[in-house]
Amino acid sequence: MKVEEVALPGVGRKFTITVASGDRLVIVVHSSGKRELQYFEAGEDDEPRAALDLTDEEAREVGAILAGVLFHPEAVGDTQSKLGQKVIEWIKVLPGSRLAGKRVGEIPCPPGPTSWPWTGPGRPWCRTRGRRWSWRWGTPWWWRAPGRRWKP
Amino acid sequence: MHPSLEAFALAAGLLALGAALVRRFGFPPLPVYLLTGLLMGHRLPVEELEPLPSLGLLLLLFSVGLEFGPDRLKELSGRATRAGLYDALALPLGFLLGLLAGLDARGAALLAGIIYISSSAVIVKLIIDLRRAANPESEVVLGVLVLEDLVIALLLALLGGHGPGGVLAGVLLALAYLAFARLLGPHLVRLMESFSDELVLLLGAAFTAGTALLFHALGASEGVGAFLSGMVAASLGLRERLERLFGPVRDLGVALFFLVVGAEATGLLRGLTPVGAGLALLGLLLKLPLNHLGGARAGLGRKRRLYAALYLLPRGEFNLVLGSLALAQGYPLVAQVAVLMVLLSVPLGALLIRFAPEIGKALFPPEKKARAAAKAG
Repeated sequence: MKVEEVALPGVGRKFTITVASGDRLVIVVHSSGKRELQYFEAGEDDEPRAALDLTDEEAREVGAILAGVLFHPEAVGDTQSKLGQKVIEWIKVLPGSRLAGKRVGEIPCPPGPTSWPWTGPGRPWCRTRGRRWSWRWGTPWWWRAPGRRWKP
Repeated sequence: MHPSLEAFALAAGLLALGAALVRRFGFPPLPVYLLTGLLMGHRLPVEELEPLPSLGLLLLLFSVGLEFGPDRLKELSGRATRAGLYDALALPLGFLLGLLAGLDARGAALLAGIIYISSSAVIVKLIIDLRRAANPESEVVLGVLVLEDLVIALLLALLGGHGPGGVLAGVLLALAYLAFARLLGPHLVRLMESFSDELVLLLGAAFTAGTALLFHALGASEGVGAFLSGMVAASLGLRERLERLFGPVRDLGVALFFLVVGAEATGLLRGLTPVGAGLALLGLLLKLPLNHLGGARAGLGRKRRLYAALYLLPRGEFNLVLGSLALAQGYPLVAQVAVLMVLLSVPLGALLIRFAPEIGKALFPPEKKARAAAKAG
């Protein structure tokens, strides 16, 4: 799967997703929250086969269904979708931090619905809630890196 | 009762009626505002509407600066840059055209700007209203618009001042603003996050109007001031928030602004000479082949590059800014060309963009048929 992301100034952002079969899904996320979906068959560049507009709310619902939040298909098993359910945000780790120089896998962040704050000002802490976790939660606002918090 | 209330009620009612009429046909409302002003302008007390239309223009330029600021350059794809370079050829060609029409260098430069700049506000609105955002040509067109807006802001800063003092003051002030955004930006971002929406709205309005006023007082163009304040606000990370907060206010102001432009155009165009009309038509035609070529260089298909050329037809806010500047500096011909181009290109461009797929189908049918036949066979 290939995902291309382009900024559309004044409109929003455009994501072009090419799947294994060669079919393409173009998703435009408008600044207003509207999502515009277009489906192109493989090799067809001119006219979309189908188009769909979603409101922000509908898009979130659809996204949750696609991510398997509401119904997790048993046939897929557990391991494959795990990474997709983790929310990873890129943050700057200060030189003195416990996390400096470590891989994500080496960081002791246990699964399960518990949160484990690492204490001390300026230290990032991680917390696990269900299957989602993020380093950013709990980072004090003055410590967070300004601007882009998400890097693909 | 203040007399402006009556004027406002009348104007808003007319605009709503026009927008409702064209909505039935799946048509964007912007050209209708212009035509409403053109047709009904002499009956409407447009002076009573002030300051809403002028504020509309300032907010429009502010939001153009917000969306099309220099930080977008980093996100620009190589394809859009190539198309933008071809598009920029309109500047020297327009300059030559101005010299041939007997203007001096300053007037010719103003004319070049008028021919070069497409209206990002009109085009973005058309793209959203007609649901073309997902198409590949939209990406190229919007990239070209980023370049155009930055070039024209520079041109305005250079041409807008009264004498060398005004130019210098404008450029220095612009640099001061950018330095301010760079140095104080990160601190202000965090402060702004804790502000309420209402406070941000009021601060933004005060900042925009104040900057425009400051630029005007220094003898520079107030349009550049509004554009620049949008750029600064974008670099403070307020893009989404301000866009959301200012959107409705701006749309109302812009609708009234286009109405007033239509209403006042009749007076300005009274002394129109064939030279002016010819220049406007030539200016509109000049960019079509350039953008078609640019679209080809950007890797768009045959149909798509035609669409891209048609998309870039509408002229709008910056034409009117340049036009009023030309009028103030004693080039009535250039001002007439500017207004005529807006009047022609907004409805025409909207029509062409609306029916672009049909035009493309009519012009390039064989490939489609061959493919269908191949599929059937």
